[in-house]
Amino acid sequence: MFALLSWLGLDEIIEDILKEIDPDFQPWLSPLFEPSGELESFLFSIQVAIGALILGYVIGYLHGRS
Amino acid sequence: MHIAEGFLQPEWCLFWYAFSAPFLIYGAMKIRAKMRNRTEKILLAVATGFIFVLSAMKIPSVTGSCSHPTGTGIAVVLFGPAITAVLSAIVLLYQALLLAHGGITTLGANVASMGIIGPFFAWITYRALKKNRRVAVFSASAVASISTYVVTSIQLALAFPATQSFEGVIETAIRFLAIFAFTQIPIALIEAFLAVAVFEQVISKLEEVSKVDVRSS
Repeated sequence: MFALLSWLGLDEIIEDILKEIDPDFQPWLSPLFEPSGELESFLFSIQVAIGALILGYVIGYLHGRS
Repeated sequence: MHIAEGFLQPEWCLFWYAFSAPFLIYGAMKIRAKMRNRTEKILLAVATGFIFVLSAMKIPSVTGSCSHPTGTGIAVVLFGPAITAVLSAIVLLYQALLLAHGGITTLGANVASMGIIGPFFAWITYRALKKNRRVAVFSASAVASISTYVVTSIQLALAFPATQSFEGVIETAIRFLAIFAFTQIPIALIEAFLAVAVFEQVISKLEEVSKVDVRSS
Protein backbone atom coordinates (compact mmCIF):
# COMPACT_ATOMS: atom_id res chain seq x y z
CA MET A 1 0.00 0.00 0.00
CA PHE A 2 2.66 2.49 1.01
CA ALA A 3 4.83 1.42 -1.84
CA LEU A 4 2.16 2.93 -4.02
CA LEU A 5 2.46 6.27 -2.29
CA SER A 6 5.13 7.69 -4.49
CA TRP A 7 6.16 11.10 -5.67
CA LEU A 8 6.29 9.93 -9.23
CA GLY A 9 4.76 12.68 -11.32
CA LEU A 10 1.70 12.18 -13.43
CA ASP A 11 3.89 12.97 -16.42
CA GLU A 12 5.52 9.55 -16.28
CA ILE A 13 2.20 7.77 -15.98
CA ILE A 14 0.74 9.74 -18.85
CA GLU A 15 3.78 8.91 -20.95
CA ASP A 16 3.25 5.19 -20.26
CA ILE A 17 -0.38 5.36 -21.33
CA LEU A 18 0.41 7.37 -24.43
CA LYS A 19 3.07 4.80 -25.36
CA GLU A 20 0.49 2.08 -24.98
CA ILE A 21 -1.92 3.88 -27.31
CA ASP A 22 0.76 4.85 -29.77
CA PRO A 23 3.88 2.67 -29.51
CA ASP A 24 5.84 5.24 -31.53
CA PHE A 25 5.03 7.99 -29.06
CA GLN A 26 8.03 10.10 -28.22
CA PRO A 27 7.91 13.66 -26.87
CA TRP A 28 9.09 15.72 -29.82
CA LEU A 29 10.78 18.28 -27.65
CA SER A 30 12.33 18.00 -24.24
CA PRO A 31 12.71 20.90 -21.82
CA LEU A 32 15.75 23.07 -22.48
CA PHE A 33 16.57 23.11 -18.82
CA GLU A 34 15.76 20.28 -16.48
CA PRO A 35 16.72 20.82 -12.84
CA SER A 36 18.14 17.97 -10.78
CA GLY A 37 16.01 16.63 -7.92
CA GLU A 38 17.37 18.90 -5.25
CA LEU A 39 17.42 21.98 -7.41
CA GLU A 40 13.85 21.21 -8.40
CA SER A 41 12.71 21.14 -4.78
CA PHE A 42 14.52 24.39 -4.20
CA LEU A 43 12.88 26.08 -7.17
CA PHE A 44 9.50 24.77 -6.06
CA SER A 45 10.05 26.24 -2.63
CA ILE A 46 11.04 29.55 -4.21
CA GLN A 47 7.71 29.52 -5.97
CA VAL A 48 5.92 28.96 -2.67
CA ALA A 49 8.03 31.64 -1.03
CA ILE A 50 7.09 34.22 -3.66
CA GLY A 51 3.41 33.43 -3.22
CA ALA A 52 3.54 33.32 0.57
CA LEU A 53 5.47 36.59 0.68
CA ILE A 54 2.79 38.34 -1.36
CA LEU A 55 -0.04 36.87 0.71
CA GLY A 56 1.69 37.66 4.00
CA TYR A 57 2.50 41.19 2.92
CA VAL A 58 -1.08 41.93 1.92
CA ILE A 59 -2.63 40.40 5.05
CA GLY A 60 -0.08 42.18 7.23
CA TYR A 61 -0.71 45.45 5.46
CA LEU A 62 -4.47 45.15 5.89
CA HIS A 63 -4.00 44.12 9.51
CA GLY A 64 -1.93 47.20 10.15
CA ARG A 65 -4.46 49.48 8.54
CA SER A 66 -7.45 48.15 10.44
CA MET B 1 -0.84 18.66 -13.61
CA HIS B 2 0.27 20.11 -16.86
CA ILE B 3 0.86 18.41 -20.13
CA ALA B 4 4.62 17.97 -20.41
CA GLU B 5 6.89 19.49 -23.02
CA GLY B 6 6.60 17.91 -26.45
CA PHE B 7 3.69 15.64 -25.53
CA LEU B 8 1.16 17.22 -27.86
CA GLN B 9 1.60 17.22 -31.60
CA PRO B 10 2.52 20.61 -33.11
CA GLU B 11 -0.99 21.02 -34.59
CA TRP B 12 -2.58 20.70 -31.17
CA CYS B 13 -0.01 23.03 -29.64
CA LEU B 14 -0.92 25.65 -32.21
CA PHE B 15 -4.62 25.04 -31.75
CA TRP B 16 -4.47 25.60 -28.00
CA TYR B 17 -2.24 28.65 -28.39
CA ALA B 18 -4.78 30.10 -30.79
CA PHE B 19 -7.57 29.24 -28.36
CA SER B 20 -5.84 30.87 -25.39
CA ALA B 21 -4.39 33.97 -27.03
CA PRO B 22 -7.59 36.09 -27.15
CA PHE B 23 -8.32 35.39 -23.47
CA LEU B 24 -4.76 36.32 -22.51
CA ILE B 25 -4.90 39.57 -24.45
CA TYR B 26 -8.31 40.49 -23.03
CA GLY B 27 -7.18 39.50 -19.53
CA ALA B 28 -4.01 41.58 -19.80
CA MET B 29 -6.04 44.60 -20.84
CA LYS B 30 -8.38 44.10 -17.90
CA ILE B 31 -5.45 43.80 -15.49
CA ARG B 32 -4.01 47.08 -16.75
CA ALA B 33 -7.30 48.80 -16.01
CA LYS B 34 -7.57 47.20 -12.55
CA MET B 35 -4.06 48.27 -11.56
CA ARG B 36 -5.22 51.89 -11.30
CA ASN B 37 -7.45 51.02 -8.36
CA ARG B 38 -5.71 50.40 -5.04
CA THR B 39 -8.19 47.84 -3.72
CA GLU B 40 -8.19 45.90 -6.97
CA LYS B 41 -4.40 45.91 -6.93
CA ILE B 42 -4.38 44.32 -3.48
CA LEU B 43 -6.87 41.69 -4.57
CA LEU B 44 -4.86 40.92 -7.70
CA ALA B 45 -1.79 40.36 -5.53
CA VAL B 46 -3.73 37.98 -3.27
CA ALA B 47 -5.07 36.01 -6.22
CA THR B 48 -1.60 35.69 -7.75
CA GLY B 49 0.05 34.79 -4.45
CA PHE B 50 -2.52 32.08 -3.86
CA ILE B 51 -1.91 30.51 -7.26
CA PHE B 52 1.86 30.58 -6.66
CA VAL B 53 1.61 28.84 -3.30
CA LEU B 54 -1.04 26.28 -4.22
CA SER B 55 0.31 25.21 -7.58
CA ALA B 56 3.64 24.27 -6.00
CA MET B 57 2.12 21.88 -3.47
CA LYS B 58 2.81 18.42 -4.78
CA ILE B 59 0.72 15.80 -3.07
CA PRO B 60 1.37 12.08 -3.55
CA SER B 61 -1.52 9.72 -4.02
CA VAL B 62 -2.33 6.04 -3.86
CA THR B 63 -2.33 5.67 -7.61
CA GLY B 64 1.41 6.10 -7.52
CA SER B 65 1.31 9.51 -8.99
CA CYS B 66 1.63 12.94 -7.60
CA SER B 67 -0.36 15.91 -8.48
CA HIS B 68 -0.97 19.44 -7.35
CA PRO B 69 -3.79 21.92 -6.80
CA THR B 70 -4.37 24.72 -9.27
CA GLY B 71 -5.07 27.53 -6.82
CA THR B 72 -7.15 29.43 -9.34
CA GLY B 73 -10.26 29.57 -7.15
CA ILE B 74 -9.66 32.97 -5.56
CA ALA B 75 -8.63 34.59 -8.83
CA VAL B 76 -11.73 33.41 -10.64
CA VAL B 77 -14.09 34.41 -7.84
CA LEU B 78 -12.61 37.89 -7.72
CA PHE B 79 -11.87 38.54 -11.38
CA GLY B 80 -13.36 35.94 -13.70
CA PRO B 81 -11.67 33.64 -16.22
CA ALA B 82 -9.83 36.18 -18.45
CA ILE B 83 -7.64 37.60 -15.69
CA THR B 84 -7.21 34.12 -14.23
CA ALA B 85 -5.79 33.06 -17.60
CA VAL B 86 -3.03 35.67 -17.36
CA LEU B 87 -2.18 34.82 -13.75
CA SER B 88 -2.08 31.10 -14.59
CA ALA B 89 0.15 31.79 -17.57
CA ILE B 90 2.69 33.47 -15.26
CA VAL B 91 2.89 30.42 -12.98
CA LEU B 92 2.87 28.00 -15.89
CA LEU B 93 5.73 29.88 -17.51
CA TYR B 94 7.72 29.76 -14.27
CA GLN B 95 7.17 26.01 -13.98
CA ALA B 96 7.85 25.35 -17.65
CA LEU B 97 11.11 27.30 -17.75
CA LEU B 98 12.59 26.56 -14.34
CA LEU B 99 11.06 23.29 -13.21
CA ALA B 100 10.56 21.39 -16.47
CA HIS B 101 6.92 20.98 -15.46
CA GLY B 102 4.61 21.58 -18.36
CA GLY B 103 6.32 23.12 -21.33
CA ILE B 104 6.57 25.98 -23.74
CA THR B 105 5.02 24.01 -26.60
CA THR B 106 2.13 22.89 -24.38
CA LEU B 107 1.76 26.25 -22.65
CA GLY B 108 -1.27 27.12 -24.75
CA ALA B 109 -3.01 23.88 -23.83
CA ASN B 110 -2.15 24.26 -20.15
CA VAL B 111 -3.37 27.86 -20.05
CA ALA B 112 -6.59 26.67 -21.71
CA SER B 113 -7.24 24.02 -19.04
CA MET B 114 -5.93 25.69 -15.88
CA GLY B 115 -6.54 29.31 -16.78
CA ILE B 116 -9.60 29.40 -19.00
CA ILE B 117 -11.93 26.40 -19.21
CA GLY B 118 -11.56 25.21 -15.59
CA PRO B 119 -12.03 28.76 -14.27
CA PHE B 120 -14.98 29.25 -16.61
CA PHE B 121 -16.91 26.42 -14.93
CA ALA B 122 -15.82 27.76 -11.54
CA TRP B 123 -17.14 31.18 -12.52
CA ILE B 124 -20.54 29.73 -13.37
CA THR B 125 -20.56 27.81 -10.08
CA TYR B 126 -19.72 30.95 -8.13
CA ARG B 127 -22.43 32.93 -9.87
CA ALA B 128 -25.03 30.27 -9.14
CA LEU B 129 -24.17 29.95 -5.44
CA LYS B 130 -23.31 33.57 -4.76
CA LYS B 131 -25.92 33.99 -2.01
CA ASN B 132 -23.72 32.18 0.46
CA ARG B 133 -20.21 33.49 -0.09
CA ARG B 134 -18.33 30.74 1.73
CA VAL B 135 -20.19 27.98 -0.02
CA ALA B 136 -19.71 29.74 -3.34
CA VAL B 137 -15.94 30.21 -2.90
CA PHE B 138 -15.54 26.63 -1.69
CA SER B 139 -17.50 25.15 -4.58
CA ALA B 140 -15.90 27.39 -7.19
CA SER B 141 -12.38 26.40 -6.06
CA ALA B 142 -13.20 22.71 -6.08
CA VAL B 143 -14.83 23.00 -9.50
CA ALA B 144 -11.85 24.95 -10.88
CA SER B 145 -9.46 22.25 -9.71
CA ILE B 146 -11.46 19.26 -10.91
CA SER B 147 -12.54 20.68 -14.24
CA THR B 148 -8.94 21.65 -15.02
CA TYR B 149 -8.07 17.96 -14.87
CA VAL B 150 -11.12 16.96 -16.85
CA VAL B 151 -10.03 19.35 -19.58
CA THR B 152 -6.47 18.01 -19.46
CA SER B 153 -7.82 14.48 -19.93
CA ILE B 154 -9.87 15.58 -22.91
CA GLN B 155 -6.92 17.44 -24.40
CA LEU B 156 -4.77 14.33 -24.16
CA ALA B 157 -7.59 12.16 -25.49
CA LEU B 158 -8.15 14.42 -28.50
CA ALA B 159 -4.47 14.22 -29.37
CA PHE B 160 -4.17 10.49 -28.62
CA PRO B 161 -7.49 8.72 -29.19
CA ALA B 162 -7.44 4.94 -28.63
CA THR B 163 -8.96 4.57 -32.07
CA GLN B 164 -9.55 7.22 -34.70
CA SER B 165 -13.15 7.79 -33.74
CA PHE B 166 -15.31 9.64 -31.26
CA GLU B 167 -15.50 6.49 -29.11
CA GLY B 168 -11.72 6.29 -29.18
CA VAL B 169 -11.46 9.80 -27.77
CA ILE B 170 -13.95 8.98 -25.02
CA GLU B 171 -12.10 5.78 -24.19
CA THR B 172 -8.76 7.53 -23.71
CA ALA B 173 -10.38 10.40 -21.82
CA ILE B 174 -11.95 7.98 -19.34
CA ARG B 175 -8.63 6.26 -18.79
CA PHE B 176 -6.94 9.50 -17.87
CA LEU B 177 -9.90 10.66 -15.79
CA ALA B 178 -9.80 7.47 -13.74
CA ILE B 179 -6.18 8.17 -12.82
CA PHE B 180 -6.69 11.86 -12.14
CA ALA B 181 -9.85 11.40 -10.08
CA PHE B 182 -7.99 9.55 -7.32
CA THR B 183 -5.58 12.38 -6.79
CA GLN B 184 -7.62 15.32 -7.80
CA ILE B 185 -10.77 14.95 -5.74
CA PRO B 186 -9.02 15.04 -2.36
CA ILE B 187 -6.74 17.80 -3.63
CA ALA B 188 -9.71 19.83 -4.81
CA LEU B 189 -11.29 19.64 -1.36
CA ILE B 190 -8.09 20.68 0.44
CA GLU B 191 -7.65 23.48 -2.03
CA ALA B 192 -11.22 24.65 -1.54
CA PHE B 193 -10.83 24.84 2.26
CA LEU B 194 -7.66 26.89 1.91
CA ALA B 195 -9.27 29.19 -0.62
CA VAL B 196 -12.18 29.94 1.71
CA ALA B 197 -9.82 30.58 4.63
CA VAL B 198 -7.59 32.99 2.72
CA PHE B 199 -10.48 34.66 0.93
CA GLU B 200 -12.46 35.33 4.12
CA GLN B 201 -9.38 36.60 5.91
CA VAL B 202 -8.49 39.05 3.18
CA ILE B 203 -12.00 40.21 2.36
CA SER B 204 -13.03 40.78 5.96
CA LYS B 205 -9.85 42.79 6.62
CA LEU B 206 -10.32 44.75 3.46
CA GLU B 207 -13.89 45.57 4.39
CA GLU B 208 -12.75 46.68 7.81
CA VAL B 209 -10.13 48.97 6.31
CA SER B 210 -12.20 50.49 3.56
CA LYS B 211 -15.50 50.35 5.44
CA VAL B 212 -17.29 49.23 2.33
CA ASP B 213 -18.70 46.02 1.07
CA VAL B 214 -15.91 45.14 -1.33
CA ARG B 215 -17.42 42.25 -3.17
CA SER B 216 -21.09 43.01 -3.30
CA SER B 217 -20.78 43.87 -6.96
